[in-house]
Amino acid sequence: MKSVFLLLLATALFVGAIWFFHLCGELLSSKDYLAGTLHIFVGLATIRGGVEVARLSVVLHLRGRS
Amino acid sequence: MTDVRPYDAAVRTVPMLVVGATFTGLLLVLPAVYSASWTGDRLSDLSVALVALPFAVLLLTVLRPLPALTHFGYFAAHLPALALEPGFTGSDVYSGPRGLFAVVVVGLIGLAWVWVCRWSAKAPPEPSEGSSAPATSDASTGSTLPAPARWLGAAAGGMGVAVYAAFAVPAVGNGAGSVEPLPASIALLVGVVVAWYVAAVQIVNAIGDVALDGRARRRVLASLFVERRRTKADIWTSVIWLVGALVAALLWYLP
Repeated sequence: MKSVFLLLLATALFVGAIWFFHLCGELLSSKDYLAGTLHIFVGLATIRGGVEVARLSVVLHLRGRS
Repeated sequence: MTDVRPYDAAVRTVPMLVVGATFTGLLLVLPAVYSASWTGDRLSDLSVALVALPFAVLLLTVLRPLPALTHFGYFAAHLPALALEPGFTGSDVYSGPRGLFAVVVVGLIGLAWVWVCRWSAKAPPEPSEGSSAPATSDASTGSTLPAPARWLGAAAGGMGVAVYAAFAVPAVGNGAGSVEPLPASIALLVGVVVAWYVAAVQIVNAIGDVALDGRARRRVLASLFVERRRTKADIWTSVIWLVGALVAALLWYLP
């Protein structure tokens, strides 16, 4: 149950990261390169958070298996 | 027992995704971007869906790498979009020496796709020392990849495609001709790099080890026991930072 919750949380973080990347694409397309670059880092940080939560979910789900 | 060389199995799916996405990108996405954004012709929703069809088939080939799917179904998935939008293969896209060069590049990447699929299907994961058998394989699909590796590859590919689409949709532009070529190209280029980093580095590397390697899971669990020794002050600090970040994001983006 805990691993499912963490997986949902990781998915939410991934969706949030994709939204930040979408904003980044809009900013880059409108020649706002500085804001676009900053949004890349925000998106990557969100992805990193999602990956850590997903790792935790996988570890809890597969705990006990060698 | 899981194989202790998990990356070999998981990473073998990544070349398929990269080569396939590149082939579809050159054959469909770039002409679509060109015709939709730079010449003023707006694509219909059906055309956009048909351009996305090969990406869906690409993910399917990672999960079920049947020869009929990799050698026929994937290529055939491009035909509906090409039939509906003749401009994708018209003289505006392929003309002169540059057009010939583009055709040669697309053809070579198509051959690379066939080679990568054959290589990925043949190369078995090497068993670890002391392990009597390699990781679980699915003989009915003709694939030697363990099932978790295929799912991991599909997840990495899905995230890569989603990230690339997040950059590509604004670059193509909602209105015809609304985006200039240079910013659109920069957005697409940044999208390729970020999608590759997210799919190959973050998803495959960071999740692949704990998903496929028992030793990595034990290392994470050991670190978690250390992390558990948190004080209440640490927890409250984390909560305050989290709430503050959420409020700041809402105040910044919602208006």
